[in-house]
Amino acid sequence: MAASLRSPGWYRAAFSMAIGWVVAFVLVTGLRLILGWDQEISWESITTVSLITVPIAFLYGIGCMDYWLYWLSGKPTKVDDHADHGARKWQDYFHFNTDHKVIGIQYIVTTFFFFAIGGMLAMVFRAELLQPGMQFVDAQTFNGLFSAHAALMIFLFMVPVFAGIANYVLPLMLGAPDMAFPRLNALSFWFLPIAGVMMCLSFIVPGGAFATGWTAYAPLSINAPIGQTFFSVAAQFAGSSSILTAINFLVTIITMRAPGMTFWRMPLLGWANFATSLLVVLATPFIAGSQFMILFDRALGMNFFDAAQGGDSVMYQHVFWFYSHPAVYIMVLPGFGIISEVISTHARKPVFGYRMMAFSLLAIIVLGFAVWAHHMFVAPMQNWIRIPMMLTTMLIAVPTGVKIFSWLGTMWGGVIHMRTPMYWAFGFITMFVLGGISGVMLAVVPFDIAVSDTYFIVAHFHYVLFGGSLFTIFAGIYHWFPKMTGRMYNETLGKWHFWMTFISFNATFGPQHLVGLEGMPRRVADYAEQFAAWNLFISVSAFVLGASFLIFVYNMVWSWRNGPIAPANPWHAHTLEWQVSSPPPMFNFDEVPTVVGHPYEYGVPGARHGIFKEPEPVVATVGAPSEESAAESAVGDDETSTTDGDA
Amino acid sequence: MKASHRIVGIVVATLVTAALIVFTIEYDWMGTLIADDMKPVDTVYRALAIASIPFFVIICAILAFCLVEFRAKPDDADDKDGAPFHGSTKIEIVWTIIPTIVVMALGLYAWTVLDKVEAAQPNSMTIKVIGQQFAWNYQYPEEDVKTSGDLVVPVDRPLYFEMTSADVIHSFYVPSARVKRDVADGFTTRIRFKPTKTGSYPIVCTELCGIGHATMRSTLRVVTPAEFTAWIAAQKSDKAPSPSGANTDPQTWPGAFQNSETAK
Repeated sequence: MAASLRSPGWYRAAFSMAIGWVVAFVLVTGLRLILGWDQEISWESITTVSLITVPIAFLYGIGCMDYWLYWLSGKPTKVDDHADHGARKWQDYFHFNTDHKVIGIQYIVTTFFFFAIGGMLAMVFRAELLQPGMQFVDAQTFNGLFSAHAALMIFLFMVPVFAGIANYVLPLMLGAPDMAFPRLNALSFWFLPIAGVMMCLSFIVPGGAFATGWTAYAPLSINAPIGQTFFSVAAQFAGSSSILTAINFLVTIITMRAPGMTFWRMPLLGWANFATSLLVVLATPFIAGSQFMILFDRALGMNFFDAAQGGDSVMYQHVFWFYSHPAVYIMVLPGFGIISEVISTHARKPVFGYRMMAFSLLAIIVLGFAVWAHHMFVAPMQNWIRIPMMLTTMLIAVPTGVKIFSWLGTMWGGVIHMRTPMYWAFGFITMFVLGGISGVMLAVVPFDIAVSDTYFIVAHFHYVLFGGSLFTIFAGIYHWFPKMTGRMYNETLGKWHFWMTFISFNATFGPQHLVGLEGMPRRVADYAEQFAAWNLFISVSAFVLGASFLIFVYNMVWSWRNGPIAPANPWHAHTLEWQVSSPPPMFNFDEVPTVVGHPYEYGVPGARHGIFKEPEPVVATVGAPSEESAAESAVGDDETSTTDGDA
Repeated sequence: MKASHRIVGIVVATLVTAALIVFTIEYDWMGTLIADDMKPVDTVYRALAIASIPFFVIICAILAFCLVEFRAKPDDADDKDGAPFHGSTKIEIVWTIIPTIVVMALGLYAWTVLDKVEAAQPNSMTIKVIGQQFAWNYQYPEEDVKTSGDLVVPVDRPLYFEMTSADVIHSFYVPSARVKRDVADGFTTRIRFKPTKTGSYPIVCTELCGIGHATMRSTLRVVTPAEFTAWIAAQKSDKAPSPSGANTDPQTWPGAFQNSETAK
């Protein structure tokens, strides 16, 4: 017992969390005693402080800081022992681990766990919305349910699941042995369960869960019960996780590409994560700032947003949306990368207009910073700002359209294998186009004024985030499942999963456009009689949609245990992750690969992307992007024999 | 064989596009419109939908065509590749330029519509709106009348709303007039429209404002000028403001109504 309290793990985590709580108690109560305040014990203040001390204590206990603390205190660090590297048994996934493949799996499983919770919350409030009037929950609980649904889906699923997939795949794709900062990588992961558990715990505190939407608009959130503090602090942990991971990706992508992999020979998933990480690093501090301001207003009475004290509630919205609009791209650009990989691989064609695919990602992130106020067309701000924001928003359709058309161009003339990832890619393109169309409509000010904050908005962002992002996530999970687990998933179940999700998704969110156009406001526990019929239909479809997820879970669990053993390269793809065994060896590549050509040279005779033999010492240019054009470099870089391959 | 596939595809896609456009024009998407001046908003919606339909149909048609034409045959080797085709600058320029022109044209058109529907109108009646948790209060400065009941307005007279909030942010939304604007403490927001149809229409709050958000509704009653005069007279004789009927709790929100009366 004593030994397990000294070594990193769950015992030490539990013990240090208790200490962390005591620290918060002593700190708050002691200060109040010293200052001679009336009420020495304030449970609300203690809770607020312990929301910060307990998670930090947990991070220490689980082992995230051991190396750094050893180093700080001058003790010998165990740099080369790799005890924290790789998973030998399933229990290893529940411990601090610095292997990007283990962290990737940890990320994906954790985020899908919170996805399931967020989905169940949606089932509960859709049950409440089956018919007008209040049936199962009261209004406060209802507001908590949809707020937690959105917060979990955004901060604990959409944003981090892409980080998880990229965590697993990207270093392999780049030919790197791991991420640039493995310990930072582990720390970013362990922030996540903290944020998720904190959001879920808010349901059991007095006053209920945070009930002001994931947007937490001031001044409503300032006077909300203690549950709101759980959201403000959880957003900090989720945000820190995402910033640290983004820095890690940036450094990995810039410095750790295999010899010969110039930026223009990098797979598009790398480009997508490069663009996304730039966005995260620049934008996420703004949500941290906005939630710190809420926290300070609540805990310290700083009056940032209280109009009676000279505060400004619209400022909150500007700061908030300055992150939260780019967040939309954070939640979909990595998906664009996944879709490029999936379509090119399963249609066996080079990506159409590879360079424009990369440039359009960059165009989206640049434009993405100049559109945030389109969330505020009905908010109190200067009228003229709406016009430039409308035009920039509509312009984003152009680079996005370039990507859509290029995917179609990639399929055209290919040899299309309709495997499960490809079903999701087809579903993604159609649904995302619909979401993009309603997005352009919503950019148009006079129309947006009419439907802003109605169910039309709800329909729009579910088409973008569910039909868009989530479909790419499913495509990616099925595509790399053989690589991650070493087993094949079940194609039949995968296709059932697709069709059930695709149909019930449209039945759920399609009609929401209609009730929104007719004026049904969003975020309401009760609604007018005129919307009753559609809401009944929507709720029933939502239950089917929820059930469709069970097929996925069953397929994943069953296939992971019992699926047929996967070959190294089941899709005959060219990118580097498929050139090693499934699952890959602990340090990814026994021999460092050399990149000699583009990643998608399907159909080009003799073309290779990476080889595992030292080339003649001519090709050693890392990071020099312009020595070849996309068209000319295609052919025949490689006359050397290939040792390891996809045949 | 291939050529006939293409012809069938093009014919079907054209028919679907035409059918969707006709449906978009004919279907009553947004329900009753009580302000003739706001008709351009509905037109904007239809224009956007009609401009989008060809894009969506073309994309779906290409996907369907790829599925039929380029699907791997059962006897194809797993690693049989497609054509090594990397792109075409010409076609990329086309699909960059055309959407740019389309969205910019739509944007400029929407701008003119916005200017038109928000333009000031002569002889308008000012109404002050104060949102509070969870009711709407209205003041008629010209008539010196305050109410928390229905919003009663005369038909065919331009209305000019000056709105604020006594507490958190609300949003004043009249679906049948296609207008909406947030109300926030410390800000005055303004909207205008001219009701041209008598009758009763819903007013709802569309900004999450707390526990009673869903029931923060009110009714817009558009009446004839004679009825309006009679209503004003009745309000003046009945000095005490009518109880709102909404669930305002004076225990929780002391002084909220006083605030609203002094708000500018």
